[in-house]
Amino acid sequence: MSRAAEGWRRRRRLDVAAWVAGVAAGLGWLAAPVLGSAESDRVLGGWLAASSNLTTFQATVVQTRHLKAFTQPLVSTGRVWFANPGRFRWELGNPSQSIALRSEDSLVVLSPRLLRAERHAVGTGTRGPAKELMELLDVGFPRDAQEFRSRFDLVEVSTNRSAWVLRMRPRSTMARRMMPLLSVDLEASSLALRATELTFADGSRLRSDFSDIVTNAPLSADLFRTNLDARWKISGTGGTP
Amino acid sequence: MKRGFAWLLLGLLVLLGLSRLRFDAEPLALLPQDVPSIAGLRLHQELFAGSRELLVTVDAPAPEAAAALAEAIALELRGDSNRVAAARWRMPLRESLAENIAWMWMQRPESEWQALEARWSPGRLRADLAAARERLATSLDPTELGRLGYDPLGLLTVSGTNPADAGLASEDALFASPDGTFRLVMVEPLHPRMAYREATAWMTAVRERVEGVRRRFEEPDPGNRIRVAYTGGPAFLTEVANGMESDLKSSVLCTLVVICLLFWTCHRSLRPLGLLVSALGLTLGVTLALGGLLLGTLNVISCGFGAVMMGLVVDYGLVGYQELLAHPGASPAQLRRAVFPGIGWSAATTAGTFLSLGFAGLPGLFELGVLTAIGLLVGAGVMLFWFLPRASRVAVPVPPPVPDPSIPSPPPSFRGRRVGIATGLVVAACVLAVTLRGWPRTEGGAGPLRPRKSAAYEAMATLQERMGRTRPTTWLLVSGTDLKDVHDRLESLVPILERLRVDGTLRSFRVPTDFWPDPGHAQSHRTSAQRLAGGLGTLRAEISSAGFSPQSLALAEEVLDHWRRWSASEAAVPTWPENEGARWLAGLVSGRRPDGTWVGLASVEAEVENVPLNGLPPGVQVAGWDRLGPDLLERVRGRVAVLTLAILGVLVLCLWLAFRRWTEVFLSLAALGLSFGILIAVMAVLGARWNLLNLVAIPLLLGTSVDSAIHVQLALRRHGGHLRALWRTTGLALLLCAGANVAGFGSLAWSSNAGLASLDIVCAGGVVCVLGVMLLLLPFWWRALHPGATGTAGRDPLTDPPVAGPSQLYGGAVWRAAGMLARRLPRFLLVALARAGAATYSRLRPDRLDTVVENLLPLVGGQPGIARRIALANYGEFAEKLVDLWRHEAGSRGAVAVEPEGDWTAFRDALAAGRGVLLVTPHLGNWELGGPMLARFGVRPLVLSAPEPDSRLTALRAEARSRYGVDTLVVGTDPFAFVEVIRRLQDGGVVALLVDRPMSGSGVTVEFFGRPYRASVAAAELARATGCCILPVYVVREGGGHRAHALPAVEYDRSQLGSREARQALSGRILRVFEPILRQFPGQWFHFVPVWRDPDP
Repeated sequence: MSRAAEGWRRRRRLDVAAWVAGVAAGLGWLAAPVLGSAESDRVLGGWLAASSNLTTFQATVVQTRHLKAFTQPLVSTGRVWFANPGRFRWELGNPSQSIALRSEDSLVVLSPRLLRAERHAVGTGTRGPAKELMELLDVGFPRDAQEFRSRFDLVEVSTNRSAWVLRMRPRSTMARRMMPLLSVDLEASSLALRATELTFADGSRLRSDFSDIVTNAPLSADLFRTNLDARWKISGTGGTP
Repeated sequence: MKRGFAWLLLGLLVLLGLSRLRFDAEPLALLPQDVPSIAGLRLHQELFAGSRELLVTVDAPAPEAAAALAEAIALELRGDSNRVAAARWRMPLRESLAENIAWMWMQRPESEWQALEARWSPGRLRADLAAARERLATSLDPTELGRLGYDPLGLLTVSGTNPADAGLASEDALFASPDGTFRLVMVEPLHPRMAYREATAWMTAVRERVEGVRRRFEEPDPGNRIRVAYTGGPAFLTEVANGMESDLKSSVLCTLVVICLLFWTCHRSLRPLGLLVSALGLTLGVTLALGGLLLGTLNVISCGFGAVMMGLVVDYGLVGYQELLAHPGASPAQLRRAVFPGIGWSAATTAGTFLSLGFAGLPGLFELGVLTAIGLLVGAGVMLFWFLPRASRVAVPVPPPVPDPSIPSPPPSFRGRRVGIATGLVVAACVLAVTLRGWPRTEGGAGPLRPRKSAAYEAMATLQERMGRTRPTTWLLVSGTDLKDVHDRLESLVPILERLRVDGTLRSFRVPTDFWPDPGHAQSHRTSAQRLAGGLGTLRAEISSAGFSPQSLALAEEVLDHWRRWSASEAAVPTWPENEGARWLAGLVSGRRPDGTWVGLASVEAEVENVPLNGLPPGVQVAGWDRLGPDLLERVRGRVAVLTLAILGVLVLCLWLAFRRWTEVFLSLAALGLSFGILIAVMAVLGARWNLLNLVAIPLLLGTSVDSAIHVQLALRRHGGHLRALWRTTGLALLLCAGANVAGFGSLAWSSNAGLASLDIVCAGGVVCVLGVMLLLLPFWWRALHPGATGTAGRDPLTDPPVAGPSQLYGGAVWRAAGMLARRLPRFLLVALARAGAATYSRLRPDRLDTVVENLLPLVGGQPGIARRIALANYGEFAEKLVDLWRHEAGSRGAVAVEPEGDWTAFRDALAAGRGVLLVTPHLGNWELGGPMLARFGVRPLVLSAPEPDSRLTALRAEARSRYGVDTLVVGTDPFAFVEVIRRLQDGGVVALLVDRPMSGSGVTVEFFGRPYRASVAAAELARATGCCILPVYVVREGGGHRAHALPAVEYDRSQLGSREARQALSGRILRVFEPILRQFPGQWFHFVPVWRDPDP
């Protein structure tokens, strides 16, 4: 097949995909009506109030990745733990392929199979795209209204029969350039967290659906610590989780 | 006509010199090139493109606005193809990423290609793609997600390097802050090596275009204002060079204004002021021209010479003018002669001090020193030969301020107690200030070399901060004979730097190993590249079956396409990638010397400043601005210490020569020490710091301040310690001069260069401190140590004899040293040295030459021209006479012997008759050699001698005579000395006596050459006492040897010598016997003190 023909076919596929996505989005919009600002504020206020009572959170997570480089979505499972204020642990894969750990002063991404760790300091002046994005992983656990508004602009709140969907935009320009949109799915009745979805600049999406949720149960502090021996290759700089 | 031609020539010279003059705005040119860190920085600036680019920074409230404006600026400037070669607002590599990756792979070693081929083998590839898929499903690292999605085959990972580190992945790398609101546009001038005026015009044009674009983007809300700034090579060049030009103009103008104000305040006379300003202008012009001819360039430091030089040169004019006012009747030549020694010495010593700045080890300061020294010498000449003659025609005579004895000096009670209290208080205040505030600290950074309030430096600092570069960058310049050599050295550098990173010395490093050509590898990989490119179909199938979309193979397809082309064609793999972005990047990391060798640029970011980088391989130069300060400071500090000690040594010598009294030398040093103490205390209070430039103020101040100590104490001597007289005359002059000096130095306090400003502030402050101590404390100290000072005025330099005593060089130490030389050196060499010394002395002490001329005038019929010619010859003859005398006294082999000449019958007859003989002679020829000649013939003469100025010399001379059988009697120390002389003559002995200069108390006025003359009466007295034979003799150098002549004995009637008048008459007769002889040998009549003055005191 000639290069030109291949290019034409690729463009055609993209056009079709765009058309399908547009139709789906339109249908979705029709199916999930957008709330007015008063209603949106009520939902957001309720969620923030519920979140402020949250001390710990643990759940099983199913992560679905719609990547442009792949023809099919990639699905992986794992566990997530969150402890207020500001600590979390994400584990994906069985056995764990990737772990993201955040403590008060650092953020570490571990690849146990590769024995690789990348460490970022939290709260210092240093910035970077990876760090900005990683910090969005706790989008589902806002501490309070002020903190939420300092990090996100609420774009819209929509609803379907079982859930509220809050769409947000990161306020940090750097994060926004890489991840222009985030959404949070909340249980319609309890406003409990059900799912989050991160949309990347190239259109790829990363959706995390939570199940087996346990809230406010005591969590071991060791969950948020790393214990890296000399075999690990550590890059970056930061605190000591 | 002749004079007009000279002026025309001077004008042409000035024009030629000025046309050659350039401003060198490069700060590194100020520094010693043999310091490794400086050599490295210069190499970096010369070879690497980044240092020649203009950086336009854009600071906007939103990243989108910043990007849009940066892009618009780049596009606008690209349109100006007459000025701009390129304008970049983002990494230009992204468009050509595939070509660059393909090229980088071609430079890798064989092992990496084998690994790549193994990775792409069907079985292994499947497993790798599955692993990539697994990572994509589970990775929480967004960078990894992005990379694996578009490069599942791992082509971006060249040599295991993360492509993000290689700076190739992001188009914003190097061009935007992490938040995107701050961006950079890099502008490459069409002609990178612009002169400063050209650069200024270029910058103006670029600014206009950029401002035009900025106005289009301007937001009405001041909070959302977009800011544009300029930095980088051309911005620094124009800013620094324009600052220099402005410094030169403003400091000179400011100094001139202050000088005019001071002159007007004191003299209120417009025409002399006009002449003074013209003289200063002439000096500045000629100096600039000479600077242009000798140096060719002015730098940021040396451009300050104008004001400093004018502040010092005006002193010479003021001194001359003051003298002119004090002696309205004196001719310009007389005035010149009167002030020449002071101005000449002052100009020479100050110029010497400024020249010694070269020893500080900073070429910039050396140029300042050279220019100021030239200016001082030119200025001294202009003031003496141009200003004085003209000023004497227009000066309005005003009675000079003379000491008024009716105005009492401070009472004696003031001298001791109050002076002590005042001095103690000052010292205590200094000690307290330094104790409380601490010794002024030394600033080690390179800050003094940089401009102050520089928009370009501020923009650079903002750029560093916004781009997150919190640590200073150190460059490693890796040199090699060819590309391969540099490549190997860069490779060898990596493990060393990695070790330093692991042990915490370095935070990060960049070595362009992946972006450095290895032509050998590139050629050897062509077959492998062709093989891999041929497997594209297989790759597509594997990718597809692993679930990847065709998009994920786009990069690999392009890379393989390049490999295919490079492998198939006859053309070799290019040395660098051929896209514009890669060529730009190559210019940032590689440079080629004129001799064809290559230099690669690596960089490290250390945890702390100036950290030592140990274990670097040979051929690696370390350079960085943070390394500059400590290296330089260490060097300058050491040199300044040595320089200060050397200048101190010279100062002590100068002070000793000026005063000949240790108390006054000590007082001068104490005054200088206290001045420096006050300066340091003031610096401590103000929190000022020493830096590598203002440290030089210490020797500079020492050299320029010693004059004040000399002037003050000599004036005190002249005025007998009369303080008010001192303040009215010398004090006023010093005040004027210090005012001009402070204006000269102080006008540079606002210099655009921080170092120059700090140097000049310290110098100006130092001058004030020195002046205060010299005028307010030193006079009281002097009086306290000279309680006998009477307060009576001393000698007038124009009306009183210029010299009264023998030269200061006529002393035991010099005589002994000369004797030692005479024993070791051949006569011809010694004569040459002595003649050169005499000629130099005659020029350094014109007052003494004038005295000799004055002495010789009656011998040559009152013709000054002839007298001066003979006087100059007289110096040479005297030098030769001394050489023979030293050789004789030292017992040198072949020392000249004296042969008798003429009729010595009277001498023999007298001796035979047992009659004493009194040999009388003038100071003619080498009279000392006559004694040993007599001893050779068995006669032991007694020489009557006055005490020498130095008792050691008296003893030395007597001892030397004794060795040759000649006795010495020093008259004047022993009241019974003449008893011994009379006894010797009565016993029929021989006594020798000089008759043309009376010893103390033995002078009578006689007629000599038709003029009254003070002669010795001793011969007549001895004749009366003993009836001896008075035999006139003389020893002169003629016909290559010394000849001792005897004249007919002087007949007298002993019985008639009872009266003083008779003895006076006999003395005159004896002296006049020598008139024809002296006319015959005027060049050998050696009198260096006035002999015709005060005939009848």
